[in-house]
Amino acid sequence: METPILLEARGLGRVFRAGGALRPVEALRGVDLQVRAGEVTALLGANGSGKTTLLHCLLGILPPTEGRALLFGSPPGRPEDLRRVGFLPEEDPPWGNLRGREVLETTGRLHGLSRREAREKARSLLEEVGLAQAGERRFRTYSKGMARRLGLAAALAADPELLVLDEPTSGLDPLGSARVLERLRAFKEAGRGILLASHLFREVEALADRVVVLHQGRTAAQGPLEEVLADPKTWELQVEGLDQEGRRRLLEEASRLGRVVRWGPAPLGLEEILRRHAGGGGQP
Amino acid sequence: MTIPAGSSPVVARLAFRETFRPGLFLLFLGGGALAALLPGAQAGGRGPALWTLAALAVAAGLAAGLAGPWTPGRLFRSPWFAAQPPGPRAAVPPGAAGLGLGLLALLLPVLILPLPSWTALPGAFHEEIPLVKALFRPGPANYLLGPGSQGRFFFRPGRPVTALEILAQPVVGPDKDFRPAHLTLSIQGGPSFPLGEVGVESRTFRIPLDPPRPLGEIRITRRGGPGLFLYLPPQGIKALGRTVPPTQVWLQCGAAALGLALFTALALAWAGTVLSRPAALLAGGAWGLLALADPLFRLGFPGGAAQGVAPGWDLWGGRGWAPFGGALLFVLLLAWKPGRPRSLREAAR
Repeated sequence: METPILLEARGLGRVFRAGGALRPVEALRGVDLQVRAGEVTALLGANGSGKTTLLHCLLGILPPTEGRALLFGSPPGRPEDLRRVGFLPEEDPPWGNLRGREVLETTGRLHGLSRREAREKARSLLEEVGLAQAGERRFRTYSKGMARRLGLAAALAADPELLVLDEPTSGLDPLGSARVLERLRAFKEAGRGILLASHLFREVEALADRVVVLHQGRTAAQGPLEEVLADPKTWELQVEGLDQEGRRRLLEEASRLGRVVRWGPAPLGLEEILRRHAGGGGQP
Repeated sequence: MTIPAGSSPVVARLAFRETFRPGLFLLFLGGGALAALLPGAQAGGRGPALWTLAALAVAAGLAAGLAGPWTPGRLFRSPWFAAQPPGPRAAVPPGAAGLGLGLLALLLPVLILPLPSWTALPGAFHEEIPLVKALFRPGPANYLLGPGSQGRFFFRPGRPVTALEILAQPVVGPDKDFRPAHLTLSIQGGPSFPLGEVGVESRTFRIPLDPPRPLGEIRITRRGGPGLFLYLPPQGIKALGRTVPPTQVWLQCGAAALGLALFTALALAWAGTVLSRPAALLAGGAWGLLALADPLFRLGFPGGAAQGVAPGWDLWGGRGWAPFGGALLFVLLLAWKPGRPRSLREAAR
């Protein structure tokens, strides 16, 4: 049985008027996508490819100039549907004067939680994203990473069925990114849906079930992760515990079977380096 | 679109919270205290006090508009807020309410602190600006040179007048003929009746109107006395009405100042919500000018006030609705951003 569709774009297009003569700029054209419960759909594309515009059209923030968007089967913008969505925009919201705790409480209350529920949820979310100590600080004093974590917490403030995230790990250190991805994976495994816009392959690879690649406002590729992002003719193998003789024999065999593109020890990455040398500190 | 139950107070509180800043409040508190201490207010002189009031209203409005609602403006037009359950349109009334309350709380010290020094002075501020003086619109100075010459004076119609006061000043001509001139008066195009005669000395005529009635035009005609010029200064032709209690004057001034300061700030905030910063500043500037101009038009320019003359322009009645309505229209036009969906159906297309 197919899982329900939470969010859908059908032939979506958006034209902006820009410049002195109001020259039309086609930001999106004919984009189709679906986000289902229990799945992560990733929008992958370079800066300016139309990812953010697409998200805004899908949530009703911007009206499309062609095609249509459906949020829980209805045109976007209905308060009862927006209550079921958590949204993390690309730019941090201008919450400047509010304290971190107040941001989460306000978001929860806007989504229909009672005062008490919102307060309790805010407390648990602040702990979950590692901001328990900063909950009483005003948002304008937060670092970029802290602001991002608070934004994610706000998106989760009312237990949404669907998360729409625009560059969720932007500004986070590798450990923080890993923790966020872990949290999002748990969200997906709870049977909820995520639409994720990103230009980071690693983030998309780690999380997505389906990928839509946008290029200059059009769909360049679309399908399951392994079909879109993987090259079926080039394979990677990571092996642990090889001695020198083992490495020599592996290289010989690989060279006999195909052309070796890259050979060498696996790079550790900042996340693993921190884990090994700094005791695994850090926050999502 | 309906706003989900319980969201309105949250939105209003959010707007209030982002408008009312403790630091800004302290600034206004200082401004209010300063206004109360200003020489103009202390001396009870109408001109300085009025200028102070107007300047404070504008400064408060603009400062609040720039520093206060700017953040809610940005917040309410942010993509984050647009994706929250109330939706940006449904959030407008509670957002405006919160913003208004926040501004009111900010501006209260500016408006209340100077109050005692303005109202406690007898015979000064409030007696200088009774509504009767706002009834009169200055016309051209009238010289009644020879028999048959006529002076016309126009009053803003609407408010009933209980008496007319007419000052006639003789000016001796070159032929030194001092025979008195006879004056007749016609009200609203009605029949002329004799007013009296004027010789070589100035004379003030007082004509009671019972029952009181609104005035439009009066004509004063000279019937004789060929050698004496008569000068009828505009500020000497007064329509008298009932006196106005100080409380009413204060309420009127306060309401005008508060309302215009709030409107300035609100316009700025809403323009900031729906438009860009330069457009918002333009809107705020326009409102600022209006805020500055309105109390002056309502209460009289300091120069004119010294002569007892004030243009007849009243915010709460008559032609005052024109600038008020025009300003509202201006804000609405600003809010009407092209390309923004005007209905769910339109958004869904």
